[in-house]
Amino acid sequence: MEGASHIGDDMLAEILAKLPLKPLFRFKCVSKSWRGLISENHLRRRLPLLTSGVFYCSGPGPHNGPRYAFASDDGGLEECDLDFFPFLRSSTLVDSCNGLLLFYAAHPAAFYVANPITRRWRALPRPQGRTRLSILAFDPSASPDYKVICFTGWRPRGADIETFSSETGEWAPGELNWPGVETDAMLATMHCFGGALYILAHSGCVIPVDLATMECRAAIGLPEPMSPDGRLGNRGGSLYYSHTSDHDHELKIWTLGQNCTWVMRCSVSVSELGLGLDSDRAQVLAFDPERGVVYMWVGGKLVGFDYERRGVFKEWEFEKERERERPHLIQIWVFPFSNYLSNCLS
Amino acid sequence: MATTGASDGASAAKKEGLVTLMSGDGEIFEVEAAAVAALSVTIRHAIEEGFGDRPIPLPIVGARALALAVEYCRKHHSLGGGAGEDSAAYDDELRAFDHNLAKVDRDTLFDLIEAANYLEIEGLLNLMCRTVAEMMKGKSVEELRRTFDVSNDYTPEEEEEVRREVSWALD
Repeated sequence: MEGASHIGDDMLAEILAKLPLKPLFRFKCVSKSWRGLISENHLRRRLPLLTSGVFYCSGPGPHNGPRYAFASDDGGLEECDLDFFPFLRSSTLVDSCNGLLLFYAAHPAAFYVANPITRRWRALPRPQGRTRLSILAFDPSASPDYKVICFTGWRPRGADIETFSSETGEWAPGELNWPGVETDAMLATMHCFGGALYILAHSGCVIPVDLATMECRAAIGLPEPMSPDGRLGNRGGSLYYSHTSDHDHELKIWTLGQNCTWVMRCSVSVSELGLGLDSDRAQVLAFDPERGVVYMWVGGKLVGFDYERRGVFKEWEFEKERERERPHLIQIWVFPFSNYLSNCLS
Repeated sequence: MATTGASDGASAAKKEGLVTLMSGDGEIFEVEAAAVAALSVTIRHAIEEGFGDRPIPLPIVGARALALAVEYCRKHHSLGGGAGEDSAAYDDELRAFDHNLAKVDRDTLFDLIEAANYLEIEGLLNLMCRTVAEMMKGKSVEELRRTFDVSNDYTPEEEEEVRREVSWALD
């Protein structure tokens, strides 16, 4: 037996699945068969989930502005600088979705999509209208293409939109009609998965927007009147909703079952979560797409809470010396790593 | 802690507690059935199928790798009850044992990976794969080819293309 060329592909895949992302992708250059193995879906599915987030720091300090970090296995948040993107200072981070960032500059109007993992970015052509709200929709487990949706005008029960598709490289005009909901009731809390964008609306429904046709589907009523911390997510192919009810401080999690009925997965008192002193301010930020885990931001820490076993699954913390600068978590994502994510801006 | 083989006293029972393994190169190992059966799915199945009283042939496992794999099973059976790394029983002594076992040379590592896969010893397979991944992860493409004897079958043009595709991962 001499070397890696003599061990079977199955065993080599077994070894490669244990590499961090960067060397794994680097080793595509080793040989054709290595490249084939690394590109295969069965290997991708065995890679760890990528937990990453966008943070802002408040107050004076060298770290003002958006920051991007990965949650590493050893309990730290590993920062990844965004300096590869030349318009970081002259544009504003307006949205992010599953690992991609959307930046907007007002004068002159310009959109940029950046990928902090591959450190690539691209400028989008300019839309016709003036944008009032811009959203990035990207699901690396479903498609290599992303969309940017600009709301260019509000109507009482709908909106004029322009949609950029990375597939065509062009903007297309359109309009959305909210199913029985006033525009004033629409919230900016959304979740994109499985080819749809789910938007929360007062005082308790979810509006699905089909990303292929850019049309609204029928509204889905929420199981309880919504609380301000309401969040949407998915686990596998199912939609999840959580909030902490105002009157009894219970964290509740539901999944949307057959026939659009909600099934409660968890109801637990926030004070019993074992999150320490700051537990009053605990808020669900993301759902694990594979396990029964939600991720919460609690006093500078990211906490994974296993709602099936009722216990803290993992905690991540910023390095101590940075605590003074109070990083605020804007958004986190947890998603299976995908070739689409590494290739979508290449 | 569960011990095996001699615990029943009578010589017949002692014989019953042992199982004979034969490596691909014909070497015979008499080992505690309970320890190897607890860790190796392949051997457990062989014993269940009635191989208990004749040698179990393990054609693709060499004697050296088999000796190490058996040692792994014994240690993990007696100290950890065969439990995985996530369990509380995975203590410092087992950790140190695993750490030492992983210090073998590169070719033995690959032999052990093949052996662990054939014998279906999940913990050993994981340990060895992780060890090789650790050795690989800091290497450049050229260093990797050299250290692990992988020949480059790209044409220069093809290689340039794939390098461009993953340029973010090359620095």
